[in-house]
Amino acid sequence: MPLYFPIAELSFNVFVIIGLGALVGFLSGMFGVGGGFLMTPLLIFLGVPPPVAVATGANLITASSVSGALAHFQRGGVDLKMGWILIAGGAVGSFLGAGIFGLLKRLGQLDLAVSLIYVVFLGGIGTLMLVESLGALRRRHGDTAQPARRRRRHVGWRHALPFKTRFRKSRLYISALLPLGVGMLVGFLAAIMGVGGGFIMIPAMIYLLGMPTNVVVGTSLFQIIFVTAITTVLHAFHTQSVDILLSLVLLVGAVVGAQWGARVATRLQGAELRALLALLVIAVGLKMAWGLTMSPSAPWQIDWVLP
Amino acid sequence: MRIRHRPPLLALALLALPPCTSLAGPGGAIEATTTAATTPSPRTRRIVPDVSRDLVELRYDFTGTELLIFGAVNPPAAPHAPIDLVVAIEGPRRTALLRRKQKVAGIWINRLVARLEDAPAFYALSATRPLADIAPAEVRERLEIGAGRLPIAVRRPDGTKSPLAPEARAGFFAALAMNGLYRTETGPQALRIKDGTLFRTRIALPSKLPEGDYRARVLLFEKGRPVAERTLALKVRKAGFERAIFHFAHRLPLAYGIVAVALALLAGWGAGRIFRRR
Repeated sequence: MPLYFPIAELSFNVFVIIGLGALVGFLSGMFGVGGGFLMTPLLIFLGVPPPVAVATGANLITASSVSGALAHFQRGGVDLKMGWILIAGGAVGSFLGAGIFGLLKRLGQLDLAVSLIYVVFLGGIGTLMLVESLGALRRRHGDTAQPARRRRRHVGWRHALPFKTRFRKSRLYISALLPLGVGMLVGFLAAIMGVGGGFIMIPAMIYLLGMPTNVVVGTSLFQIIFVTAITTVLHAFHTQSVDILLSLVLLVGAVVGAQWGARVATRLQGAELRALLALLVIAVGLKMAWGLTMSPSAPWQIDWVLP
Repeated sequence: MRIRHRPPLLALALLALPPCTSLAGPGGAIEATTTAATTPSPRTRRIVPDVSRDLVELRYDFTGTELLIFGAVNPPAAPHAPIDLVVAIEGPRRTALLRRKQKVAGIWINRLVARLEDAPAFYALSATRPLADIAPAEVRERLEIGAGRLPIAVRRPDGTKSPLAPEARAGFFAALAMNGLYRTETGPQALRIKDGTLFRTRIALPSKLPEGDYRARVLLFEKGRPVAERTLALKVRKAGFERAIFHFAHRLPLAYGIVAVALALLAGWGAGRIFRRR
């Protein structure tokens, strides 16, 4: 059953799109990640124009983060003060990102920039995850008895920053510039890559800000909803590249896939799961890199100047 | 997709035409042969073309379609008379920025090559024979027939005349062809004049068909000279729900963005509730 997506200006079999949503939803449910960093490249591989893939990806993440954020909020797992500062930073980052996005689109270099940034992030994060999970697997098999985790070191410069603020829920007294900066980076990535940015934000919250793990996921989801919402509005306004129909059809698959994935995950081991996800992330990154370096099938590209 | 179909009544009516030529004398077909041989009066020969649909609506299930352009040459020509037809469908003309991928440090990067003004977003041509056999180059140039002879202004990015014009043109049509937006077909399979009078050609319209005003030019040549030309207008436009979404996104972008977010929040929240109940 073909369906024409009015902003992507393409027709796809609706089951292919639901299936893609289900696949990414399944993986995100299984691994507990947002899945934006898989959704956007897969949409691009399907032939969706990169600007539409990025903007629609951001829109989809708003939807897929709502119920999780609400659940954490009700459980008291959101540090609101930290969240609002992260969002303020995210808004600035997203604004900058959307501006650069629009500029790159006008210059005809957006597709390249999106691919490059994906290659770097997918390659880097995939490799880190693979190393970490293989290490965990080796430890479990009792090769070497390593200490579970090194103590977090207090970096001096973090305390030298001004605007120190008390975050009761996180039991922290740190400079507000830190969450502002983290939020900005994540907002920027949301706008350029169409991701929620949890894969950057969660490690940053734990290792850089030093937040306790019980508020990390909730606060990050809280920030992601607002920042992806802002990003969606900015992209809709600047480049008209948000495809509501595409994001709704993807969501249908993603919701079902996520439930299924979460169920499968309970039967699998954590480290093995992470190694699997790492391999997948690396594979997607390699496919993107391949696309950048191999001889293009379409060397010429037309961009219409709209009247 | 719903399409306004035009029943090919005209074609049926034209089928009845040959007997009408007997007004000039008895024995229509033979009469036509002799007139063509003795008094080649190209001025009097006309073409009566029509198109199977004058409105193509891009709806939710549009995956491309086929356009039928048909008609008759009147009065009919002798079976082997040197007449030729060219049917060219042109999409809306716009300005295009043409970029070419170049390898820089192992990576393919887009480089702006030229700015093409009045470039058609779609061009499909059917002809009874290769264009070079139908009419001399000057004639084709004057009539603007064929991809190479369309009046496209090729400029350098800074607006001056580009020395790369032929290359840029070729690149432009290659890029169109990738999406099925440019095709040239010649020969009897593409377009044939049956019994010296009836003709028809099929033009494939791809799924990535751009919106806008199209025109179909039908030209008749006799011994390399153009003798008649007719133009048909047709429209391609988005329709239904998709059209509404597209126009909403482009005319009220801020409101569209807010609605997109509201929908996402609602859908995400609803989905969460459904699954939590279980």
